[in-house]
Amino acid sequence: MNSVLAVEKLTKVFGNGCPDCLGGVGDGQEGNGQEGNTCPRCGSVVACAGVGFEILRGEILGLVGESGSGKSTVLRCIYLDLQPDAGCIRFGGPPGIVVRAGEVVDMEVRRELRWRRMGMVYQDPKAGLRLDVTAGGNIAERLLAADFRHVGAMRKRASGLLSRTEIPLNRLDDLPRYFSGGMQQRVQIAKALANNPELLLLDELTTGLDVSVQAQILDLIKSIQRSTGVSMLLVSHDLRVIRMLAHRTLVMKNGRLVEAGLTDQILEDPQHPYTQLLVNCMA
Amino acid sequence: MRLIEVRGLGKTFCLHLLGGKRLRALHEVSFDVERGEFLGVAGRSGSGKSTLIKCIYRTYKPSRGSMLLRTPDGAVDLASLGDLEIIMLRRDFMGYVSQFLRPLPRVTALDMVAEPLRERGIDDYRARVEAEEYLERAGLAKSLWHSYPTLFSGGEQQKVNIARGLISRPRLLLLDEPTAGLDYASRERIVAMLEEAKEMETTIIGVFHDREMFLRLADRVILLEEGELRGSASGGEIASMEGLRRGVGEEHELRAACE
Ligand SMILES: Nc1ncnc2c1ncn2[C@@H]1O[C@H](COP(=O)(O)OP(=O)(O)OP(=O)(O)O)[C@@H](O)[C@H]1O
Ligand SMILES: [Mg+2]
Ligand SMILES: [Zn+2]
Repeated sequence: MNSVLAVEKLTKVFGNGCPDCLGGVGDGQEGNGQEGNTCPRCGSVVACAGVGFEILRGEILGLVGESGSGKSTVLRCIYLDLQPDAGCIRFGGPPGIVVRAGEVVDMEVRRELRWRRMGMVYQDPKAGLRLDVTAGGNIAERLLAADFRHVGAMRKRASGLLSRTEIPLNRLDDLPRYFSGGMQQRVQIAKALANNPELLLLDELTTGLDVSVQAQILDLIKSIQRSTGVSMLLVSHDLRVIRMLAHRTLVMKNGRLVEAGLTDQILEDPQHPYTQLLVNCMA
Repeated sequence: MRLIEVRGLGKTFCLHLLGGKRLRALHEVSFDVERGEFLGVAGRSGSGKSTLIKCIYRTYKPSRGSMLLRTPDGAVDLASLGDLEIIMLRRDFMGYVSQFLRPLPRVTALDMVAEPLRERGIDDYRARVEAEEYLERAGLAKSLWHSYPTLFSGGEQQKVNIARGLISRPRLLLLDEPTAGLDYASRERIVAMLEEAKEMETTIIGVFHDREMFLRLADRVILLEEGELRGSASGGEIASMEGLRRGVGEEHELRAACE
């Protein structure tokens, strides 16, 4: 099978940490550590611990969990925004490119991964866009990084991406600062797609948008997936979004993966108490 | 040739929100299905019919037992097969039609039906042409092909559902009351489509609520009662099958007796 990403034992602790951190923070199973993700001894936050999964080519993998469960942390470690404390991440292959906790990532490798192989859509458009650079400029920045040199070709590619993401072409030279939330997300998506990545990381991409805009964005994601076959890791706390898009789904709680399965199985026959609660709250 | 061997299948739900209450839905269920056979599943409401179908499709995680499936690529146990392999089996080998369509917002009827073909990598144009053909055969009015099933009546949605389930011509087709709530003419169209699938050697496991469907379509019927297998009949014996008369055909029989 054709693997795009494999994550193993990914662990990230915010704070000084102590030997009790990982044992002290549980997965919500009765008698298995305390509730919450803060170490009772040193107060560090265990944002993710021992997380492992794989994404295949063309697959949409959902990642759900309540606020603070560690979803964004996993995403940011994969995108090399954060350095994990333990574990490793393999891109493509095997052998592929392997990034291990504690090892410095070569600049060239970092560039290859962040600018070519992956695209990221952040929960907060401010993190993913330069709001005072035109929409076209935001996209050009990425194309430049991927060695697009010809200005005419770049503009053409940028306008192609905008129309793909249903942004009116006459907005190409406007600043994203003055765009609506839905429009900012579209520019982020266009930017993330600029270099034909093989993996898109999507963090709460519809949160804070009104329902009809949400539906349009989800629609867009689906049609992009269909036409490009790009793999996606889709983080959301909204199970309806997951149901619409994901083939398989992971459930996180307190930094741990508590359940993984086919999306319909997670929704109709959840095994873990926490997943049952989550599904129940939706119904 | 046998396609499926189900052995000792059990499913117990553990409801953690209700203090870990356990619900036994299936217990020690064993049966075989031959390649190309139409196996009917009968039983009263709550007897475990849908649970059985969902265990085979793996929407439910079986708690016990095995379900050996012989595919062209060898035999696999559906009960323990990995999620990724199940996804591929669903794409290439097994289909499922439930009683209700799950319409997606902003997706037209035509696109919903074309989707399974696109998932198989068939190009957009061909997928749409075939989708039109299947919608036509399922009897959905042409004027609805490009509108959203979220707005359809139950019967119209069900036509989309059937077309979507059959378009990829699965070798194993799982049906859960696909004709419930349809009027006579609509139901006859579906029956014709199922008969044709049967002629193409599709193996079918189907739950129905009216006796007539079993008599017309099934080669064999198994009966579930409180999650356990209570009987099996084939060919001419189906008509006189105990549970069928008592359970599903009840109303019909009663009326006949009164007249
Ligand atoms: N830079 C940081 N410094 C300290 N703690 C952090 C940092 N980033 C995240 N955390 C903590 O790590 C935990 C996991 O956060 P994360 O953002 O991954 O959650 P999430 O699942 O994405 O939540 P949401 O659904 O609210 O986006 C939280 O308790 C959070 O407060
Ligand atoms: Mg987050
Ligand atoms: Zn600690």
